[in-house]
Amino acid sequence: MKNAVNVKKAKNQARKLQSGADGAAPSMETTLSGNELMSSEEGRFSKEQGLGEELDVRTAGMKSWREGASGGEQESPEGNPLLKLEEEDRARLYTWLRECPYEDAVKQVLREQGIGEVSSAQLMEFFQIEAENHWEKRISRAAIEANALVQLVERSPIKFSSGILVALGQEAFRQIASGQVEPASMGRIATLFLKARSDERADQMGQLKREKLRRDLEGQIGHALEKLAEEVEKHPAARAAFEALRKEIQESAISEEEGV
Amino acid sequence: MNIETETPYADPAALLQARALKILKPCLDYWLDEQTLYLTLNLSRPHIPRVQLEAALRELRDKAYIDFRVDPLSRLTEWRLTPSGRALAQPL
Repeated sequence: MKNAVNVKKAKNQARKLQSGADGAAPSMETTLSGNELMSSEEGRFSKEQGLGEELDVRTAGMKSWREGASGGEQESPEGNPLLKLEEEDRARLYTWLRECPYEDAVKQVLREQGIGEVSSAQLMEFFQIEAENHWEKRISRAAIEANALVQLVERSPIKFSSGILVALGQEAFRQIASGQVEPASMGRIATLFLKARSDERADQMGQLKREKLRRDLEGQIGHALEKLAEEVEKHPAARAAFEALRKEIQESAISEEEGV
Repeated sequence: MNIETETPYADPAALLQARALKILKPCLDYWLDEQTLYLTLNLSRPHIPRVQLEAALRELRDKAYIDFRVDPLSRLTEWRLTPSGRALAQPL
């Protein structure tokens, strides 16, 4: 019964997190004063120097935190058939558990799928592990997406200050990680970047067209000069005129390049 | 010595701190607000009361594994790993 209550709590928390329905977080401002922060900042490096052994102990603790967190009350992962399901089935079952408030209904579906009888504790263990992985992935993805957004803006022709870029990345991360993505702001950002991308593509297309035109012209001029050179070979008297013409073309090409 | 076969680390306070570090690890240089951290942490059993989380975070901060700020716009308290905290969470 206690387990079922815990699952419901977890589900409610997951829903709250996703829907963004939570109120403002209780702040730790009352417990963390500015002086404490300063002393923490100043003492950081000296403290880091003496971390050695403690780091090892803590690392060992973290390695086994998952086992320890069960407190010996849960069945081991090896004994839970739900933890051996394929990735796709795990994702589907996780969604059922999150969306469906009736555990019996989920158990019935599992029976129909040939997974067999599972206990409430196994279901809860599965949900906890999956939920944890889910949120780890979500946070990790939030950081990746925020970085990608910042890089995209950095590449845009308009240069923004590093402070604005940091704030933009942080806001994107906050919204994605907390599940409180505001459709309106995301829509505005997406529109802005789609426009920037289309402008960039239009510029690239224009540049390619200009390059093609230049090469065509060069080809035509080269061909004409070859023909003229053949004629000049036949009529040495025209050599001086040809040399003058070639010089004039070269000069105009140089002046055009300088003008561009 | 193989860590995987060791007896589970029994200190609940250390376990809670390790879990907080594990959640903060993928945030990289971004700040994670405390409410999201709290909810993420409580997806698993046993339930972590707010005061326990605050104590764990304060201890980690005192050891300079994590840093905090109060976002000027949202007024949320936010946390992230320091370089030493990242080194600590590396094996996770």
